[in-house]
Amino acid sequence: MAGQSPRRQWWAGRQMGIAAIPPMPQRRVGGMNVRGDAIFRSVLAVFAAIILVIIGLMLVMVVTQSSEAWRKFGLGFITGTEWAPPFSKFGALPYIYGTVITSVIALMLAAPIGVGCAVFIIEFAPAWLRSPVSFMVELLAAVPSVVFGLWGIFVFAPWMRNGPDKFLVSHFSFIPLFKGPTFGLGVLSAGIILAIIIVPYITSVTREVMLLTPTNQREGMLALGATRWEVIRYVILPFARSGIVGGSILALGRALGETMAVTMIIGNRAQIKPSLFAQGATMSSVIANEFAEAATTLYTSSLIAIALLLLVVALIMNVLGRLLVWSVARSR
Amino acid sequence: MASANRVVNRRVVLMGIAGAAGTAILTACGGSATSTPAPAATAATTSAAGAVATATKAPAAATSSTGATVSSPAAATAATTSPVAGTTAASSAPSGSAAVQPTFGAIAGGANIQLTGAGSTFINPLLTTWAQAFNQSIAKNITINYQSIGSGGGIQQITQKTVDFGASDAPLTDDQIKAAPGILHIPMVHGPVVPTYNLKLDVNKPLQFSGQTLVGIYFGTITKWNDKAIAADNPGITLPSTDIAVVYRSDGSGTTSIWVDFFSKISKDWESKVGRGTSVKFPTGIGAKGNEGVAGQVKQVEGGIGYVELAYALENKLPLSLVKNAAGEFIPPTVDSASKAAALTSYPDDLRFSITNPAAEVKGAYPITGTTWVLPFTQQTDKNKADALVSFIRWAISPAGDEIARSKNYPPIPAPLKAKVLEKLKLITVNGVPVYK
Amino acid sequence: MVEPTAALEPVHLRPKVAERPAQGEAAASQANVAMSVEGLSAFYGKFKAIEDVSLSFDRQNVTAIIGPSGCGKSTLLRCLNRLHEIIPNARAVGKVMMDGQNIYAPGMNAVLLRRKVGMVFQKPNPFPSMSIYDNAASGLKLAGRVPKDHLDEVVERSLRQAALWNEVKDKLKQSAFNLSGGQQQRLCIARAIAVQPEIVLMDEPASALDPISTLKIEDLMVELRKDYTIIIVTHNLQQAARVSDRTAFLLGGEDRIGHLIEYAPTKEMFTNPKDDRTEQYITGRFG
Ligand SMILES: Nc1ncnc2c1ncn2[C@@H]1O[C@H](COP(=O)(O)OP(=O)(O)OP(=O)(O)O)[C@@H](O)[C@H]1O
Ligand SMILES: [Mg+2]
Repeated sequence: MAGQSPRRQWWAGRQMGIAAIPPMPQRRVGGMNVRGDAIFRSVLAVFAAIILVIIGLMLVMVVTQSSEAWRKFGLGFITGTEWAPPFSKFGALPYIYGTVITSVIALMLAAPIGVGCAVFIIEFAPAWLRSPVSFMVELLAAVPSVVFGLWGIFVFAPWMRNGPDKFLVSHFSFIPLFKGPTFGLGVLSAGIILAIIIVPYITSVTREVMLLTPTNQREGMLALGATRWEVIRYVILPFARSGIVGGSILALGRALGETMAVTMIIGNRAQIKPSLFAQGATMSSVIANEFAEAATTLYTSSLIAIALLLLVVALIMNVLGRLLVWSVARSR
Repeated sequence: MASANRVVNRRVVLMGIAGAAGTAILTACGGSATSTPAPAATAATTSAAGAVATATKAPAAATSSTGATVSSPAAATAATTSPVAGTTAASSAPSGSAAVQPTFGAIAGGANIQLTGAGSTFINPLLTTWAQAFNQSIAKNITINYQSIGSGGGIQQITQKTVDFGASDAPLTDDQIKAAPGILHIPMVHGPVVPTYNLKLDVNKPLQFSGQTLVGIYFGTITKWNDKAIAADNPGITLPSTDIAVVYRSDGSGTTSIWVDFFSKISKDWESKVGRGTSVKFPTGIGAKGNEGVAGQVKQVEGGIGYVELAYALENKLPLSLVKNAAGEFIPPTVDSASKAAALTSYPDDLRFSITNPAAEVKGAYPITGTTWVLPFTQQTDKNKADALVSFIRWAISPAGDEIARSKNYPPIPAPLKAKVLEKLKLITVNGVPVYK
Repeated sequence: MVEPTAALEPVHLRPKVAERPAQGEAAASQANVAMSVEGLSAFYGKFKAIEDVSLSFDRQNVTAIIGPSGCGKSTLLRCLNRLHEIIPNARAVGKVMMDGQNIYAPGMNAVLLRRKVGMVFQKPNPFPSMSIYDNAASGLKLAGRVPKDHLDEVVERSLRQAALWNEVKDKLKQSAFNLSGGQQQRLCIARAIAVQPEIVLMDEPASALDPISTLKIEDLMVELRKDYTIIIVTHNLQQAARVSDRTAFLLGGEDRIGHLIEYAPTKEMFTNPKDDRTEQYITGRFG
C-alpha cells in the first residue's frame, strides 16, 4: 500500500473492514474553499432559478394567451367534439382522445417489446452481440421523428393497409375496433409508429436497472435449479419493476408530445370513432398543422388552449405514473 | 458571354449610383431633399460630374440586360428625383406605358438595403428567386430576406410591423385591416390548385371534373369512381367501381383556402356546412401534410384524389385533371389559363378579390385559382427601404419578372391588374411624399 | 444410470436420502459417496484458480473446506453445482461424479443438477419481492414442481428443519426483508432444503452473523447431516472442528493457484496433520 495517497489508503482500509482506521483525512478547510463553495452554490441556484422562471413564464403565457378561448367556450372547450375554424367553433375532445388513444396503444405495444429487448440484451444476447444491439436501440432513439414519419408514409402504412389491416378487416370487422375501411393511415398505425419511437426509452432505462440486479439474487435463484426464464421471471423482472415503470413514464411523456411522425401517419381527422383504422388527430398535431395559418385571435387562442390541455394531460399522466412507481416501490 | 454579363451588371449598378448622384446634384442645386443617404451624397460631391456622365450612358446597358425599354435618360432621372423635385419634376416625367415598363432606377445607391418579409409559403420559391435575380441584375445593394412562415404569420408580422412587408394567399379580413390601418394589397402572382388522382384507366386521357362533381366527392356523397356524375363529366371513358379515397391538406394552407373558396362559390351547402378558410372540417377523407403529403397519399392509394398547387404538380409530373369553368369549358390547369382567370372586367378598389370561379364572360379561365398578395404599409418611414420595395415590386411584375414566374410555373398577374398595381404603389409615401409617381 | 427426468418427479415423493438404494452397479465402497471430484481445475479466463483437485464427499457427512483467503474454496464449491460457469469466461475441466455420472459430461443439464445440489451463500439472499412463505416455497414453485396442497406442508417442514418455524409462523406473508440477518440466513437454508436436495453446499454461511446465530446454524448443520450431505466452506477453524466429519485444506501457491494440500477426517487433521503447511495454517502461523 506504500506510495498510495492517504485517502486511497483510508478507502482501501475501509473496504477491508479494518476498524482502527482513523476518520478520513480532512481537506484543508480555508477561506478559498469556503468562498468557492458559496460562489458555486449561487451559480447553481441561478441555473435552477432560470429553469423555474422559464417554466413559470411559459405557463403564464399559455394561460393568458388561451384566455379568450376559455372565456368563450368554458369547459365546453374540453367536451366539445366539433372543430370548425370557418365558423369559429372549437372543441378539443377529438384531439384529447387522439392523443390518449395513440399513446396508450404505443405504451401497450412498447412496454413488452422494450422490456423484452432489455432482457434479451442482458440475459440472452451473446457477449459479442450485446453492445451492437444496445447501440442500435440507442440509435433508434436518435432517429428524428420526421424520418419515422416518412418511413411510415411510404413503407409502413402501405404494408399495414395491404397486410394486417386487410386481414383484420376481413376476419374481425364484426368487432367495432376493426371496422373498415382502412387506408393504412390512422390511429393504429400512429400508435405503432409511436411505439417504435418510444421502445428505446423503455429499453435503455429498463436495461440500466436490470444491470443493477444483485448477483447474489440471480445466483440464489439459479442455485435453486431455476431456468434462465425463471431467473428473469422471479428475480430480474421484480427487481427492475420500478425501472420498467419509470421508463414507461418517460416513454409516455415522449408519446404524448410527439408531433411530426404522428401528424404524418394519423390521417388528421378530428373525430372519435371506435375503429382502430379510423383517422384521428392529436393535440400536438393540430397545433403543428394549424397554428401558422390561424387567422383570428380566437383561433390562435383555441390552439394555445390545446397546448395548455396537452400540458395538463401530460402532467396528469406523469403524476399517475409517479404514484404507480411509488406504490410499486412500497409494495416491495 | 460571362464577361459580357459582368460588364452589363456593373453598368446597371453604376446606373443606380448615378441615380443617387442625380438626387445629390439636385440637392446641391437648392432642392429640399430630406432623406438622402450620406454616402451617396459624399460620392456626389466628390465626383458629381463623372456620375452624371455615367448616367447618360447607362440606359443602353439596361435595355440589353432586362429587355425593358427606357424612353430617355431624363425619364430615369425623373423617376429617381421625383420625391425631391416634387410635383414640378413629376409633371415632366413620361406617364402611361413608360411607367408600366419601369426603369427600376429609383434605388438609393451604395448603401446596403435589406428588406425583410414574411408570410405565404406558396410564394416562397418564386419570391426568393425573384429576390436573387433582382439582386444580381438590378440592384446589388438590395437583399431581400423572406421567411416563409405561412400567410397567417405573415399578416401577424406585418401588423406588428416587425417586417417590411407581409405576404398572404388570402386578403386580410375587415377585422385584420382594422388592426393594420393603411395596409396595401398588392397582388403579385396567382396560384392554381389542381385535382390530382390515382386511377388506372384504359384510355390515356386525363379525367375532367365539373365543380359540382368535385364538391360531391369532397362531401362524401360521391364514393365510387364509376358514379353517374363522374361518368357524365367524362363521356367515352369506362370508369372502374373503385372506392374514392379523398385526401386533403391537414396543415392550414392557402391551397386549401382556394380549394374550398371555389367549393363555397358553387355550392351553398358547402358554404354553410364546411365554409372557407385555411383549415376546414372536411366532411370526409384523410388529412396529409403539405403538397408532398397529399401527392404521396394519392399516389399510394388506388382510387385516391387530392388537390395540390399547380407548380408542385408540374414539377412532380402528377396526373392532372381538367376542371369545368362557369363558361362551361373544361379547362386544363396551366399557367396561362390561370392568368386568364384573373383578367376580371373590374377589380374592387382595395384589390381584395377572389378569382375562383370567374364569371362566364371570362373565357378559357381555369376556375380554381388564388392570388398571393404582398402586404406593405402605405406610410413608410425609411426612404431607402420604401424605394427598394417599390422598385422590387415594379420589377417583379415587369416582363423580366414574369418570365421568371413562368419558368417556375407561377401564373403572372394579367396586364389590366398590373396597371392597378402600379397605381397602388403610388400610395406608398415617406413623410407624406410619394416614393413612386 | 439415473434418467435425467427422475429429478423432475415431485421432490416430496422422492425417497429420503437415507432410504435411497445405492444407485446402479456402483461398488459397495462407492455406495456411501455422494459426490467425487477427480482432477478438477477451474479457470477465470486465463487465470487458473484451482488445479487438479480430487476428493470425494461421503453421504450424510459434513465436509469442511478450509484455507486462506483467495485459495479457491468458493471456486471449488461453485464447481460442484456448476454455478462457476455462469461467470463470463469462467470454465472448469475435470470430472465431478454424482450418481455415477460426470456432471460435466456433454449433455448434462446444469438446471437439473442444481435441483439436486442446493446452495447457501455467504450473505443471506432471500428474494426481496417475495414473502417469507414464498421464499421458502420458491424452489418448489419453480416450474410447478409440487402440487399446491403439498406446498404448506413442505414449507412448514423445511422452516422447522431450519429452526425458523417458531419465529416466523405468525408472519409468513410478510416480506423476508424484515427478518434479522441470522433469520434470513436460516430462511435461505430452509429454501435450499425445501426441494430436498441430495447435497447442500454452504459458502461461509455464518460469517456475516453474530455468535448466537452462528451457533444456531452450526446446530442446524449437525441436525441436517442426518438427511443431507453437507459441504461447507469456512474460515472459522473451530467451526470446522465442531461440525465437520472430514476437512479439506486448500492452499494457493506462489502462483496463486489453489491446490488441495490435505484431506482427512477432521479430528485427524486438527490433531495430527500430515503436511507441514496444514499444521502451520491451523496453528495460525499464516493465512
Ligand atoms: N469472478 C472472478 N473473476 C476473476 N477471478 C476471480 C473471480 N472470483 C474469484 N477469482 C479469483 O480466484 C481465486 C479464488 O477465489 P475464491 O473466491 O475461490 O477464493 P476463496 O478461497 O473463496 O477466498 P475467500 O476465503 O476470501 O472467500 C482468487 O485469486 C480470486 O481473485
Ligand atoms: Mg470465498
